[in-house]
Amino acid sequence: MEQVQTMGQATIVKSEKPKSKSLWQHAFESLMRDRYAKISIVIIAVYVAIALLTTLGFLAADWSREVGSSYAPPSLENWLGTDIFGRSVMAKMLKGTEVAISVGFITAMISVVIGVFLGAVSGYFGGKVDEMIVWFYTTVSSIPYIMLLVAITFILGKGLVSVYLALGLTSWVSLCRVIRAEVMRHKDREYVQAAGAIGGGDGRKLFKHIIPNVLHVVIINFSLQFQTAIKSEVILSYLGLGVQGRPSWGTMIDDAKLELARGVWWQLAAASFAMFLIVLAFNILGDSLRDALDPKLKGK
Amino acid sequence: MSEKILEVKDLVVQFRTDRGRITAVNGVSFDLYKGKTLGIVGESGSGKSVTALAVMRLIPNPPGEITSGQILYRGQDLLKMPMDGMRKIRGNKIAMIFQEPMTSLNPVFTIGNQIEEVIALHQDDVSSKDRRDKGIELLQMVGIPSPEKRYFEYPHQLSGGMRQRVMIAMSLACKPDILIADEPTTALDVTIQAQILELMKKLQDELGMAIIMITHDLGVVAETCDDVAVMYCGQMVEKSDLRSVFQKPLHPYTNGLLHSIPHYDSTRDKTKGRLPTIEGMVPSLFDLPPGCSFQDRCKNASEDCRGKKGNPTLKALAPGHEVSCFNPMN
Repeated sequence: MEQVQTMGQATIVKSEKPKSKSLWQHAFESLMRDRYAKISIVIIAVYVAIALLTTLGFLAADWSREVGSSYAPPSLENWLGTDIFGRSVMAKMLKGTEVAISVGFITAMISVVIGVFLGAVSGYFGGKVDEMIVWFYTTVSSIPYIMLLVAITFILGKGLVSVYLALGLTSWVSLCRVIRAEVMRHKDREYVQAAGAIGGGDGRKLFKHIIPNVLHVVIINFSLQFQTAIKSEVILSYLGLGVQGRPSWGTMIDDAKLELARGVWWQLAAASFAMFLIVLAFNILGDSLRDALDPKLKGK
Repeated sequence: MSEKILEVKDLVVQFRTDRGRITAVNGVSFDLYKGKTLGIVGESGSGKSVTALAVMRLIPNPPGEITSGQILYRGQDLLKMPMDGMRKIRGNKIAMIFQEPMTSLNPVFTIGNQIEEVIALHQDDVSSKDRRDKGIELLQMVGIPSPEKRYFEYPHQLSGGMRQRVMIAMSLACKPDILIADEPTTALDVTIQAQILELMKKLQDELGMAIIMITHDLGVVAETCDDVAVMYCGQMVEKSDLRSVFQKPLHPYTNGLLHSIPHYDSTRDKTKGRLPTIEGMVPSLFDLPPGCSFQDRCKNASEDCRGKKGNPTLKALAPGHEVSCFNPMN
């Protein structure tokens, strides 16, 4: 009976007063007050929507269809002109979004998982484990990154999966370093000691208590990793190591090498603009996320 | 005498540093009885907190290490227990509250969440709804107003005193036998201190647990403890019941400590003048003098204390009143 009453009161009180805000809610509100951040989120949302629609076949499904003569300049019919085979550059650009977003997302995920795990373990346990992981990431980061990408792509063969793995496996080092330092800073805090005093083991202390406290670093890094990956995919495709058989912004820019001499600029312009906009949006978002999540910049 | 619940025997804790090993706790022994409070007093670096952490086996290793001794909880040696079993004891049978309520709670979880975690860790048969009811009940027990609302708040929304109450609620979630309070009131202001101490006393009476109160504040000791142990440089120099220690301190260090408390009532301290202090500095743990570690600051020091008779050990000079000194006060 008593329990029921307490619960009843709890709901009443809760409905009277707004629920207290967590760090994340505060961060979200501060993000929503930031005009540029909002615009960036909208831009990113539009890109993601386009990527989803093209994947599901609602948009630019017929990108390989001939819609006009070869190298037709932009017109009312074909807003962004056509390429060498008379395909719509507009459709190719839209279809390319799919590759860009998937590469950005999956690569950033791979790098976050590896970077957070290795960084956390290395920072928390220290000693031999730390030495090994530091040795490992120093080695990885001492290899020129394009060379490593080329090597991985050659081993795995050309294609989207190789791009994911090649970029994911090379981009975790900086996050790993930051997470390692953050975890080191947190592991001697009293709340971690208190977690030990209530009977929590190493795993619980590290993953339940410390990681949520350094998650803001991960989120900021994710946003920046995302756009780096998009750029890297373009570079890979430009080098001829990227995706095959489907349009990506990289292959479009690669095509433009030959086209520019003939005065065909629209393919290059379309791909560059598409990339420019999302990279800019992610950069601004990353910056705003840092402002919103970094307690040191709060209340400025 | 009530049941002996914890017995610490010849505990030695060492830390490895760049300048060699130091012995932070050197042969400490004490007993703790059900429903009683033992105060461990000493200045910074005397080994009080290390002793407390050692009982929980929470000494960070490396660099720290419990090198010898026994910690018997209900006759069972905690130092020989596997880590798994030890985790089941922490927070469940032996709980601890820390000095800094500001930093001992995880800033990204609600206090309710953190109280529930203790229950979830040790009582896996409690449903999540029951956990919440129990958590709210605990907040009510430690005197937090409108606990149903506070339950969903984050640590940064509470004041220091409230947070310490939450820490107490967390530590009591599993009704422990022993509560170790490591300077629970140091970070709080005086009025809140009194409230927290009163609360702990009340809860001790209700739950019948034993408390180890670690503090450097003799006022807190006088207020809360049944027995007192005084530590200096990692050793226990005097151990007795509260009354004997305060009325007839035997060790010159304890005596010095008691005299360096300012008295405000004019009847007791007619002579105006400077507050008596203990001259000198605590010796570095890296080079303790041979013999008694208090020799350089002691007015009673003689050749015996400088290593001629070896190191002083605890000896009972009166029933239940032990002191480690060659020239005790009389």
